[in-house]
Parts: sequence; structure tokens; C-alpha cells
Amino acid sequence: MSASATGIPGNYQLIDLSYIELLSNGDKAFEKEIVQIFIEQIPQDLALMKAHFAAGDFNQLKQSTHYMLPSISIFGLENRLKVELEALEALESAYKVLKRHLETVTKVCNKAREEAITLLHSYA
Amino acid sequence: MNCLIVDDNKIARTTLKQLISLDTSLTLVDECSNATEAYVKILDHPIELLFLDIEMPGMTGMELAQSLGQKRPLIIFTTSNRDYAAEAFDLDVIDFIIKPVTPVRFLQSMERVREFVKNKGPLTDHKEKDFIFIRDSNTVRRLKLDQILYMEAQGDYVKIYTQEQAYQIHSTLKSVEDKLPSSIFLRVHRSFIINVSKIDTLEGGTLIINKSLVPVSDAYRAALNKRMQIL
Repeated sequence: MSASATGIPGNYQLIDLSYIELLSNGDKAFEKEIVQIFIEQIPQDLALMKAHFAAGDFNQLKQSTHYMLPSISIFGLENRLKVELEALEALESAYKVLKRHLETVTKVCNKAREEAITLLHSYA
Repeated sequence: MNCLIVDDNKIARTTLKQLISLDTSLTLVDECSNATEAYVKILDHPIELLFLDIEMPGMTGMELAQSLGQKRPLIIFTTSNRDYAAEAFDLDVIDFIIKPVTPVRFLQSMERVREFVKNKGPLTDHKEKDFIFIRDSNTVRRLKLDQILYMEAQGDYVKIYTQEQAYQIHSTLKSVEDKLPSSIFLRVHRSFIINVSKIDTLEGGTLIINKSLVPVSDAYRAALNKRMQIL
């Protein structure tokens, strides 16, 4: 299903551009800037989360999860990752469960990033 | 109205910039990625409105709001975590918005700012009340500023002296200083803040206020002389 609400082209399974379109009001330069930041930021954010998890530094893991929230919510991924993000912030689940949640977040965000790259190429 | 964005997340700052551009009464002075950078910026620039994230590495948004004292602009907290709402409003902020901020929610918040300014007068005067409320034992009491002679730090307490009596409140002298208008009160010693208009005499390193002796330390002497405008 296309996640684009109005004018942004493309057929996206994960990213929902409703909020960005609401904010841009047709301002393509703004849309492009936001998409570029998302593409640049997501790998860094995921790498940080993985590093904290691998080091067993769960306090930092919680902080890096929180840090990702604006990017995730702006691209409409919040509902899709709600369970995983809440668990990674609460840190009350077992290690194996947290690991699985982190893997899901990574997978969804990487796929969303691929969609964002396609979207970026669609801008003139 | 000069405003400043403080948020460690670039994507959050960029969306806020876009929202700020919706309101022509706002001038974005700058954006800061941490609270320490913002603290320095606020001390040096006439910032009237702060869009402030709460959870940031190092100094948090809450800590920044608490540390600004007399230089504190109006504050709108912007956060991804609604758990901070009660604590945030305890800091007398204008609004508390959950990210991502919609244009409608942003404009509602700006309406609150306008309402506040309309009721309280120019932003720079928003702390210039002529009274304070103090908690004295189990009583919350209104105290007119012109009743206060001076204040003295005593351990975890501050003693507020008036002509009639002294009140003891649980606070630090710094916190009290931040809440009082600097146009009326002046720190003259690590342990003393005075109401400048209540000075009777200054003899050497000592002030006499209503027959009480108040020491003046060397560090504050120049500021005191300047304020007294001695002929």
C-alpha cells in the first residue's frame, strides 16, 4: 500500500509521509532535506544502539532508543515499532527478547531507509 | 519574537524550523544541539522564547530551564516522552508539546505565548512582580517585595527579614536570587542578598539595614557601589 498521502510519488510499504507533507505544504526543499537527514542519521543511530547492546550498557541503549524516536515518528514508523521501542526504553524484558526487538528495529529502519533513498531520487 | 531551538536531534530541529517559519512573529536566532551551548547563547543574546527538548546528553532541558535565573526566556518544552509533563509545568513553562509536533498544535502553543505576553506585558518584564509567595512552616504567605529588608543563607534554609519579623524558608540563596528581580535585590555576600532601597548606611565592609549589620564581601563590592550610585 502506498504510504504517501498526497503529492509525494512512489509506492512505499513502510514509510508514511503524511506528517512530512503536512509540514512541508508543498515545500520540496524541506521534504528533501528531511529525507536526506533520515538517510544519513539512521545508520548512525542503529550502530549506536547495537554497540550499546553489545557492550551491555543498557542505560545508554535506552538513551539511544529515545534519541531515534523523532526520526521514527516523523516517517510514520512509530506504530509499526511501538512494542519494540517501548521495550527497549523500559528495559524490563529478558535479554533474548530485547535482542529480538533490536533486530526488528534494525530490519524495519533499514528497509525504511531504502525506501527513503528511492524517494530522494524521485526529487528533481 | 526572538526564539532559539535546543534539541540534540537534527531531524527534530529541522521540523521545528519549518514550524517556526509558519509564524511570522517569530525570528529564529539560532539552533543548538545541546543545553550547554544554549546556555551560553541565551546569556549573550536577547532570546525571548525557547523551544527546548528535555532528554539530551549532558545538561537536560529541565536543568537548563532551572539554571537560567533572570535570563530565562519563555519556554515551550518539546519532547518525545509525555512522562515529564507534570515536572515540566512545575517549572512555569508556557507549554509542553509531544513530538512530532503538528502545525495545529504548534499554532495553539503560539497562541498561548501571545496570551501570556498580553496578560503579563513585555516579555522582559515577566518576572517583575511586586510580591512573592513563601512557604513558612505550613503556611504559604504572600510577601510584598518592598517589605523585605534582606535575606541570609543559613544551611539548607534562607531567612527573610522584614521590618516586623523574619521568615525561614527551605531553599538555597541562589534559588531565591534567581526568582527575585535584580532591579530591586542585590547579592552582597555569599550568604546575603539585600533590598538595595533599604540600605541605611555603608561603613567600610558593612551595611546597616534597619539596625542590622550585613557584611559586604570584596567580590560584590564593585556591583554594590555601582547600584548605590553614591554622589
